[in-house]
Amino acid sequence: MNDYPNMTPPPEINDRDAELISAYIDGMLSAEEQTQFEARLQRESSLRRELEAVQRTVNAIHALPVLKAPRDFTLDPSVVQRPDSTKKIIDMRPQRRLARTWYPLAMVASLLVVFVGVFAIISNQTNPKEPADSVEIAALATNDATTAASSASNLSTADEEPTPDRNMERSFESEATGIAESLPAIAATRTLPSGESALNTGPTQGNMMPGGRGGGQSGGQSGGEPPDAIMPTYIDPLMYDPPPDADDGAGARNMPVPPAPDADAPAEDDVTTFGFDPENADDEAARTMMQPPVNDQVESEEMAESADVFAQSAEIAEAVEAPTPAPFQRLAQLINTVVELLLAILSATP
Amino acid sequence: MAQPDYDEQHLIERARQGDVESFNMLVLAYQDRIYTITYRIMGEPDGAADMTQDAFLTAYRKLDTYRGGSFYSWLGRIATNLCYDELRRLKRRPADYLEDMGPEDSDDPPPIAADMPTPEQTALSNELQQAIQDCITSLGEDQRAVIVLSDVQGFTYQEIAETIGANLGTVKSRLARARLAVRRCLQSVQELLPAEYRLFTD
Repeated sequence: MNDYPNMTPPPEINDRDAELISAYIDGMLSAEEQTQFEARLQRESSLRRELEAVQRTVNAIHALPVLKAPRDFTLDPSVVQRPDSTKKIIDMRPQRRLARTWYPLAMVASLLVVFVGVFAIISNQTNPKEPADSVEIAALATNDATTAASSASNLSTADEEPTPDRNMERSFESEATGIAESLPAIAATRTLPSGESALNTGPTQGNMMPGGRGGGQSGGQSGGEPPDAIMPTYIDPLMYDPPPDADDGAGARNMPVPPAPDADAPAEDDVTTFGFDPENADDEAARTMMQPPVNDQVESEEMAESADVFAQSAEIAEAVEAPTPAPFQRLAQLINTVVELLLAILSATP
Repeated sequence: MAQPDYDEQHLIERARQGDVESFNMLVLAYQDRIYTITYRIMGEPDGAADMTQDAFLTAYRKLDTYRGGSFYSWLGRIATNLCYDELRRLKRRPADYLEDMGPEDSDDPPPIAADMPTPEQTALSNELQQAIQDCITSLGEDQRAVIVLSDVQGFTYQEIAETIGANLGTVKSRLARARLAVRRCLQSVQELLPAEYRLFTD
């Protein structure tokens, strides 16, 4: 009933029948299995044809000739020793297999050279340099610092009333100086998203120094921290754009900080005492630029000196600027050269 | 399996004691048949030669594990396992496979038969031999090892199971699928063969 007419193509043999055919050829069927299988062979011509085809295949494979070894595989007594614990066998296989192991090592060594080169380039970026746009920003910051310092000088001298307390006046100057110092640092921040090195170096300690002057100078090495009450009005919101992902240290620089308890003149007291109006600071600065101060020449010189310090601080801050695109282009060229060299080596290797 | 004769057993004992020359006499006696096994499994001469050399080195190193019986079967088991491992390694690293079995290898002439032809062998054309070899090489490494052990080397199911570390049921099913695959492969290529060498009638 399962026999198929000759004109009908035999169905694909299933795995079970394939196993029965194979085991039947090898005599590996049990007596019962063999009886049942032979009964099926009587009924199913397709099964008979498949058995015959597999049997021919097995016979053909078995009839494949024994091949002659291409060479002698004898072991060299001079280099092969008995496999005791103190003896070893030297592999005498062709160099081709050794090369198969050598190639990955060569590739790893080449990659190591590339990484060393990259490290050297990155390390080179930490050396002081002045990219063009950094210098430009530093110049702007210097102008702002000069303006702020002049404004401070003007404010301290334009008042008709004589200053009763020299220390109080000094304190105000220190605040103005701190504000001015903050500008280069903030300008640097715009081009240095992770500019911790430019902003971390102790502006707060500088403002906490007696008189504020020392603070201005010390902070001038890397930019000073602005007094809290005045700082927002001196910073152009369009110019000051702190990075959103700055860490808490950077964030703390943007937040008002209580005045140092040991400072000679707290910032709020200064503002209150002198009636300083931050809203008019820019106007005052503009007037100062048009009309140089006529009083207190010493203070003017000190302000100018502070401005120079601010300019230096801006330059130093820009020195640790993030890498500009030019080094990356050099890095890409270096990698490209190394890759081409590796390709040339690989293509030349047989 | 036939028991090793006295001379073979004597050579094995001397080789165990460190006599490399005695072992080399065994190598010369079996290298053609061992190379045939490795060539049938690897499908190309260079890899077969590497595996043959490895097999004799391994056999010499592990002579202490030989417990009697057919020395040829013991050698064949070592050679088959080495080929099996190498094929799996090449499967994991296709770059090595291309390096070892690249186009330059396909231009190599096929190995010549040793001087021990059988009537069936003389009747088998070179074209059919190559077709069979190509069909065996087209199998996966599991089926390839089993069909060579069984139909080239003449191992029993039990010996195959011990060699590849599988149970009898796995050997039976794996061998059945391998034979069926080679049968279909040969039927698909036999139109390229002369009519007198075709295995199957239409």
